[in-house]
Amino acid sequence: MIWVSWRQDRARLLGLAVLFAVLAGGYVAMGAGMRSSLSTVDLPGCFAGAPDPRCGGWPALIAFVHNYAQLLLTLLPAALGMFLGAPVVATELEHHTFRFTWTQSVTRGRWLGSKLLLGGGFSVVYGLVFATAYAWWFAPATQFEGWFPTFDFGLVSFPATCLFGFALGVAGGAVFRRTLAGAAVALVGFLPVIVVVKNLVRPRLLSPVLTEQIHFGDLTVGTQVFRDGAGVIHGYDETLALAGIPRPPIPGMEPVGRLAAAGFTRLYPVQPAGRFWTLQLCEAGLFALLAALCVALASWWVRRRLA
Amino acid sequence: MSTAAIATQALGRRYGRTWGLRDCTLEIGEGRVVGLVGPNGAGKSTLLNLLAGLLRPSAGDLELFGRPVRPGEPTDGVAYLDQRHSLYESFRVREMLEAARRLNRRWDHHAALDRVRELGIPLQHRVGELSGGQRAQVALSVALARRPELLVLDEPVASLDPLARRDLMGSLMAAKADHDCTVVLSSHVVSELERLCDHLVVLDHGRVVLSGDVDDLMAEHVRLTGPSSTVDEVRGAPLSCERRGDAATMLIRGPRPALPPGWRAEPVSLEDLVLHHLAAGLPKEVAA
Amino acid sequence: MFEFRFESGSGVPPYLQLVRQVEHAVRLGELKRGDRLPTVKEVARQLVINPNTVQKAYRELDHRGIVRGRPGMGTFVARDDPAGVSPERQAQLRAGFERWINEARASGLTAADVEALVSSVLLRIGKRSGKENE
Repeated sequence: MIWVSWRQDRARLLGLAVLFAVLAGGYVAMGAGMRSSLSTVDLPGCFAGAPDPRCGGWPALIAFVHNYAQLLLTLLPAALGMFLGAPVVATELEHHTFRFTWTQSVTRGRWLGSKLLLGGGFSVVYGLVFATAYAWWFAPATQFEGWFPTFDFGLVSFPATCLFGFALGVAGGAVFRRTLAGAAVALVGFLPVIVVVKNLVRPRLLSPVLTEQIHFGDLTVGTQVFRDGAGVIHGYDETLALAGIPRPPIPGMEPVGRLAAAGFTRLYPVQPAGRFWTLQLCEAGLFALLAALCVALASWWVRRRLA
Repeated sequence: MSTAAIATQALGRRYGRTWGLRDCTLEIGEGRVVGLVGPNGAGKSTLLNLLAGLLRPSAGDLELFGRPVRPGEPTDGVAYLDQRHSLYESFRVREMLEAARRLNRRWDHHAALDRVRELGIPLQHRVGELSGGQRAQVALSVALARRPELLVLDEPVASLDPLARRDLMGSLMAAKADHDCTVVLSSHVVSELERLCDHLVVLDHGRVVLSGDVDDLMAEHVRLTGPSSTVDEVRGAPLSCERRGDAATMLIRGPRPALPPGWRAEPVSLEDLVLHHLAAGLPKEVAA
Repeated sequence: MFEFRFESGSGVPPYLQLVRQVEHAVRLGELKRGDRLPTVKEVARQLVINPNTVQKAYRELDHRGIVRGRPGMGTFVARDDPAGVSPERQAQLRAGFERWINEARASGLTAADVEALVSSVLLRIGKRSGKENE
């Protein structure tokens, strides 16, 4: 059965393998180039994309890649849905081959299971390959920046996001019965999900820790707050009012010293560097759950609505 | 006594608000070759899809060889061939057979390979490159290699040229002689069915209007011709009665009545019989 | 090997068409005792006809004593033509009849007219010879 799925989907699988390999290869090439042309002392500071004569041409390249490619790279999981997921059920319907496939001994459930196993498995592998290349490229910078800048393409969450993108395409293709419609669903449906997860869900996966001192690798989430002597937390404006200090005319010039004298300690809400992998696991779990919902929908549709 | 190959009880399938098939009650013995006829949209494909497990019934029961059919649970003994002879176009013929082998519990790989080779179809050709006739033959080979007890064919020759038609149906009839399976095939060409089928089911507007053994049907029906003036003297309820000038023609089902002078009885071809039943529409008690 | 024909739309049940062809062939001496009929599969493929129909025809022929099925070997003609007319005489009669048919056609009779004429003549002659025999 898995052989049949492989034989049917191999062209698409290979096409996407090439796409992911080229992109991963780009980061590997960039990483290798930076490692060989920059000294180990300068290397870690050259990933932020800020111009610096010690970094040579690399910051310009990195800035270019991140300004222009970052959005497209975020959409890689949607590409899996469009080109690999959407055709799973839809091509069978478009080419009428479901009349062959679904009248053999194999149940629709098992047939879909094997297609999902193959497509889903490869999606995870592709995600893992890209995430690994990205992580390897960024590894020298982690001593200054920690792993949080790689969160979007994290080793754990990105493969799960790819799995979700694939599953979304499968469900779209099954429900709308056309590969093109399924591809549209995979793209249009993926965008809001990734935006919501990135901006609204991710910061709330674990509640932030309040710290006086931001350490290397910590991720700042939200704005500074102040703790009064009784341990109650206040916002900046509220604290100013409580302390009776007028608002300074220039933003960023917080009168921290005067506030401290008034008994208010400045605190930063952060996700500590040590939570990176826990947060990755949480987000991976979320995408795996979304993928499971898509699979359940596709499976129900194939077995009930298309019969 | 053999069990019925196909037994349906008030079987129906609804698409939204309209019924594709309704109140279909049939019993068809093992080993029969059943012809399913009717105009487009009469419910032929719906009935065949129900038999093949592609559709689930909205009403009624369906049993094949005494076992209830559960849709989604494929029946090993049922092979189905659709009008387009759907196969994976990008596969080579050899790969297509391999795919079918892997998708089936019961599969005679040697028989499939031998059959395709005998037909002179190159195994390394892609399915999409085959002629319509060759493709149909590959699809039939796949269906036969499953050693089906019931072979369901939806308009199997509709897309083929006359020569390929003859080849495919010849192959099918020879295969039927080899392994004694039950065959159900639909067609809108009634004249073909006389030689192919021994049981006829006529559908119209989703209902069964006629079902029976072909020889019985032909023996039961008779065409009477005679002078219009004595039409009323002919006893029995005619299915149809046409008057043209002085001459009248009637189609009678059942025992042959005593004929007034000047009347003659003639056999009726299967095609005429079907057309008369379709024109007459549903039996009165069903239509009401 | 004997070759069957099939005519659809004649109103004659298919199996009966096959039965009549064998009967006629035996009557005309085209089939002789011991001749093997084609297998059910051969007829089914050649004529593109339902094997059940062929089987039914063979059963009927067996029942009428015209053929005998020998398991594993085939179906064989079990009777010679009852009239025992020599092939030469058969050919002569046939030629005469063909001439007559052509004449009838030329006079504008259709096949159905000829059939009606033949059956009515056969009927009358049959009645007369029945009376003579009394």
